[in-house]
Amino acid sequence: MTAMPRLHGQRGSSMNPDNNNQGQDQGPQRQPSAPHATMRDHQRIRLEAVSKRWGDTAAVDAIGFDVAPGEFVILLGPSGCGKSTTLRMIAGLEQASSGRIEIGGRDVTHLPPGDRGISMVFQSYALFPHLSVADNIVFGLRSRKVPKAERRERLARVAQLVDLEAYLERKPAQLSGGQRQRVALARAIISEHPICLMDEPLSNLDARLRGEMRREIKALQQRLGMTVIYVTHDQVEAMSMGDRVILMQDGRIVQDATPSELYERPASAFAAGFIGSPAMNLVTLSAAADGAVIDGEPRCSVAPHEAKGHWLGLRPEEIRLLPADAPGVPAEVIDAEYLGADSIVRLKVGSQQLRARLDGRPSLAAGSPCRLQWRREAAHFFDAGDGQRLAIAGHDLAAPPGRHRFEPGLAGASTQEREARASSHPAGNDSSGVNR
Amino acid sequence: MLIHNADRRMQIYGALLLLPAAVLLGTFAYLPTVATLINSFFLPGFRGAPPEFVGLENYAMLVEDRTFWRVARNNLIYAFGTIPTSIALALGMALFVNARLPGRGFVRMAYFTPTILPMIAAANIWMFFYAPQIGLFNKLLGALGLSGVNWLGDPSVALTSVIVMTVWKEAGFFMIFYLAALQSIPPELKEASDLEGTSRWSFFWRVTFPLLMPTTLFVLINALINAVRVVDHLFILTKGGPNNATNLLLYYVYENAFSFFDRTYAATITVVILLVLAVVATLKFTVIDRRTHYQ
Repeated sequence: MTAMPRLHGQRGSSMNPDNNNQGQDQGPQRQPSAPHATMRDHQRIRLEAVSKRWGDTAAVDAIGFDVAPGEFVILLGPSGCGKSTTLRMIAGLEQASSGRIEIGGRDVTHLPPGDRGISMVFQSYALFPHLSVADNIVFGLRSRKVPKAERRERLARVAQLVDLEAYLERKPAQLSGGQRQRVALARAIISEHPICLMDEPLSNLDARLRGEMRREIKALQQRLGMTVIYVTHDQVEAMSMGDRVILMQDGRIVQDATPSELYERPASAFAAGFIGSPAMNLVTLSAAADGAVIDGEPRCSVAPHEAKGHWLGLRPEEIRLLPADAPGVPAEVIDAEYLGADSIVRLKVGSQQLRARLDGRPSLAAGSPCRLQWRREAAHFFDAGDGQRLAIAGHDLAAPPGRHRFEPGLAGASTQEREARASSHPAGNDSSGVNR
Repeated sequence: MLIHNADRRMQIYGALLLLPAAVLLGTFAYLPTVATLINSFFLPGFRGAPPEFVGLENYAMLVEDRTFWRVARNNLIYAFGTIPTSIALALGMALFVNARLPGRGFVRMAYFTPTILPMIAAANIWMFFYAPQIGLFNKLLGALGLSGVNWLGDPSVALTSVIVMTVWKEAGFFMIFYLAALQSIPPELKEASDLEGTSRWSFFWRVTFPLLMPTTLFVLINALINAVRVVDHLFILTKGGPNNATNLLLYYVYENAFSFFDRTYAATITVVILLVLAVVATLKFTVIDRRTHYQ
């Protein structure tokens, strides 16, 4: 429980909807072939070993996943990872080089976009500049020869849904960015296609508007029961909106999991570094007598021997700062960056640097010594070679001092020294409130 | 006082920057226009006698002149024959070379080549196409067993022949404008309409064509001006004949001024041409502009 609320607590009010999502998504996501879903099976999307190659380079490399009806799936990744290409192949705007795409049990791999029963929201909105808002919204209905009366009725309903009633006669150029975004949404909704693809729809908006639209899109999706595949490179969008996040890198899927799983059990060092702000600390472990230690800090072992040479991953918000006489990993404060609700403290441990997120404004002087602790479950281990997650459990650092992992000689000397310093700089005093 | 001086200096500076263009325009455009207007109120003086002021007599003569009306009618047919055809052809070619096709650069180049050729050279090429005995067209017709046509000699065909050549020459030029405009239309618009199953035809009329309207307007004005302004090919092809069947307004002006040496009458016709062009351009801009979407 500690991790998620903290992440969202600092960003305002998105905590509740997100918790709801986590509750809901367990059903369809865990059992994609559950019988109760068959009634809405025309919304199911399935990709099997889909690739897109240009010459020798594979933009998308044998990707496969399932999207259940009503699910909000995020394709997340850095630019150039193939997420947009994947979306465009589902839309039919790009032909897959190989593999199979199914929508509602129908093979649509070679079907033109208009026959796939999907709508799409583009990053640039793709509004027709010469048409009024109303004409933009009903453009597709006119293409599909929907009778005029029905067109008008559906337009009225959708315009109300996205709050555009007052702007129907305007041209797109006379609208603000957020309003244009709403027109694009309205155009996707009015088609009443059960599946909506969104290609970075919020990236042209300013930060405040983005937060609003995030909630609106999520609310619309739940209200209309749409199946959404949403491409973004923004982890906040991914975490707050998605029932499920598919993290991609170099045309492959790195991890396909719920936002909380992605956050709490990243499948690789890449996934660990991509999610979270600031990103997860990755420090090199080296060998010591009593286990693996953070490189350059031999006094306190943090993991069993098999972790040596690999990476230890720690979320900044999982690190607790304790006074220098407490048990834990000895560290030294480098500096602190105050952000309002919390602060990011840079710490030096041996040859490595860590960042910790602390509540409020801790009064830490640069150079003051302290001890670090984290929960056993908060320590992630990744292979130094391929970055894959390793099934290693870390040591419990909260144990009282003087246990075997302190080297006897060193520990005694340094404890005295630290006590002396701690009284002059009450560095760790805030730590009681830290992180729990 | 200081500010006033600085202001004045800026004005002089601006005026100096304008001066070269103003001098050129004044000397070669406005001054001749005014001189033409004044000339049109005179009769030419012969044998060194001063020109005689006759008021609107030249204009009265113009109204009576049957050749003038013939030429004006020719020019109207010429305009209606060349403008819509060349614009439609230009748009078609632009759409074609804007698509993905092998050797696209080569095709674009090929379409644009007629524009690079000087009108005189193009007319010379077409002379050989149209020539009654050795011409390409009649050779082709002969191969099919059909009797040839005297393309430029037959008064009922000659104007059409001139029109065809002009369309060939102009379409490539207008294509470049359409091509540029087509490339400024974001591809997502096509994708968005594809997702709704919009047919190509429907997309063209509902999106592409309206978005090309500014270009169409520009091309339309240019084509109109060209229809009156460019007569180089007549010197090579027909010299306005047979029996004025292919004579156009500007060529008629030239004939009057330099063949019949009636420069004031030529000036009169020129003034009329300028007036008509001004009125038509104003109409086009006010009527079509209102329906045009500028991005």
